[in-house]
Amino acid sequence: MNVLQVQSLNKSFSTGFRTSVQVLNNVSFEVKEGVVTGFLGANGAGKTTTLKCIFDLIRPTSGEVLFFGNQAFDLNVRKKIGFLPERPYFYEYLTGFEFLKFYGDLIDEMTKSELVSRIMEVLEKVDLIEAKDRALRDYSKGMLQRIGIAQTILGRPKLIVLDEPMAGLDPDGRAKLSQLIREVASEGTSVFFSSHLLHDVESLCKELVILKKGQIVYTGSLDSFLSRMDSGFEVVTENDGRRAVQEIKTQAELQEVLKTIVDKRQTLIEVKRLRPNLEEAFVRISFGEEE
Amino acid sequence: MKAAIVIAKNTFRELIRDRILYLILVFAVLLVFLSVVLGQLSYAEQMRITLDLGLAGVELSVLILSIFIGGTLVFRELEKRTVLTLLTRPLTRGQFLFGKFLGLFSIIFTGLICLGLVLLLVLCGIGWKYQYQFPLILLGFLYQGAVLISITMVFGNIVRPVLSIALTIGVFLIGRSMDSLLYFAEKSQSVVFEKFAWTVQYLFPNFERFNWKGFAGQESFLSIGDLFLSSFYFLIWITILQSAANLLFRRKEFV
Ligand SMILES: Nc1ncnc2c1ncn2[C@@H]1O[C@H](COP(=O)(O)OP(=O)(O)OP(=O)(O)O)[C@@H](O)[C@H]1O
Ligand SMILES: [Mg+2]
Repeated sequence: MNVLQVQSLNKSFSTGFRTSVQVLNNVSFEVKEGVVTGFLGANGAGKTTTLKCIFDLIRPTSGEVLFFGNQAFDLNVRKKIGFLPERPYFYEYLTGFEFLKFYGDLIDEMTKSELVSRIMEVLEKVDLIEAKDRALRDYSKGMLQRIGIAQTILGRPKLIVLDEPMAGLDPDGRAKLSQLIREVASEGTSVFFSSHLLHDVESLCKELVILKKGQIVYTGSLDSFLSRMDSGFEVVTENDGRRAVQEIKTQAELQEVLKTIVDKRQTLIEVKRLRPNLEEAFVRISFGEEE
Repeated sequence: MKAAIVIAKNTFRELIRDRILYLILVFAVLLVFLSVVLGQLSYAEQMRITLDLGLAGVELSVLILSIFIGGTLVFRELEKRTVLTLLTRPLTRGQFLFGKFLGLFSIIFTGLICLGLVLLLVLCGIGWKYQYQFPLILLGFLYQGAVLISITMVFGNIVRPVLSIALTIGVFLIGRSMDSLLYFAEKSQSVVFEKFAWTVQYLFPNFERFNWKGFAGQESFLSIGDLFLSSFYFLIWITILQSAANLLFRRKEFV
């Protein structure tokens, strides 16, 4: 099942009298249940705009967004999703606990004592138990990002959507957040998040949605994205105790080279298929020549 | 409705923890004391003048609270982008807006009670005898405050806070001069002026209808019927203004 289905989303912003700029162009993709999906795109590609359209914060010019099969973004769906916007900022006058209590009251599905124990559980998970009675104005960036995640998972949602959750965090903070996302996903919550930190995306995501200048350029699994982006082969041979490495682009070339090796009776050590990492593949698709 | 109350509670807490509120309240208490002192300095009708000035002080404070906090009420959530997460929670935009209104309304109500008590204590301290009109006059202040909050909420959807506050003050001044305007229109021979005044009367809330300070120190008060009529007038304006704010807010995009 799809937890989220985005169909032919178009969005133009008017930029003045009778002029407008099209930011999203026929954007369609799905987020599958139970997996972590990464949302990639260069600065200004339209990721944040897409996410805001999904949650009705921005009205798309046309297109449709469906949750959990066929539901619109109504009050029931809202209870089953969580959203963390870009550079979130929460009520500085509330303590961590009060903030979660406030959001929990809005979900309104637990008794008071159930809610309190759920809040403690979530605070434990995001490692903020000690800071729960401190005002949010005294939280560090990493702590704010974690209380932001806590807010999204409070109601045991089926889907959480995070807009650049790792931005501005130090490596340790990022590692903690990655671990947290992994845990949340392992409990069956689908996660959809945008990020520029491809290393983290590569280690977390199973699926990818890639946006370029407002258009989808790839949707599908991370694996097939990387293998689609094959960069050829590496052949290692040995001659008189000395190793030689050859990089080969195509299958035909590879067969030629292998034939030579066999003919000349050289020692074949290894034939390796080269795969770009996500970083290279992404740069190629996002900044390379138009397809 | 539950969701609106959750928002209202949080708004109340937000304002209670805000220094601005205390700044205005301290100013208000000083204003009340000052009015009383000024009243005491007058030669004739000391008690009446003290009472009038004291009430005017409380009224001015309520107006300031309503206009200035109302002017930034929703804007704060937009500016700090807290609205982005909040509006994806299980509540409608209408409930959010109404909750904000209820929250500030409770603040005004609480502030009014406090200032009213301060004034009452001071007045009783100088030998004033309590009259039943006193709380009813304060009720009129509350009505004015609530209408003003609603006006700032309508303007707040269209313009920035500073302008919203300025426009609201403008509407208030028109509303408070409406009776004189209608009076002069009637006296004048000009048909155009009369038509103009007639139109203004329906376009803007008539704040004079909630201004009952004149009854302070009198033997009488508005008749029950008139009190009900004014309350009804109040409810109609609140409904119109809140609906307008709601309509505008529902169409908003949060880019
Ligand atoms: N209100 C607006 N009016 C005009 N153009 C806008 C408006 N909001 C966004 N845009 C444009 O839409 C494009 C997409 O912006 P968006 O914020 O969605 O990008 P993004 O993929 O989230 O980028 P980033 O990675 O920097 O966060 C940008 O080119 C931006 O300039
Ligand atoms: Mg963005």
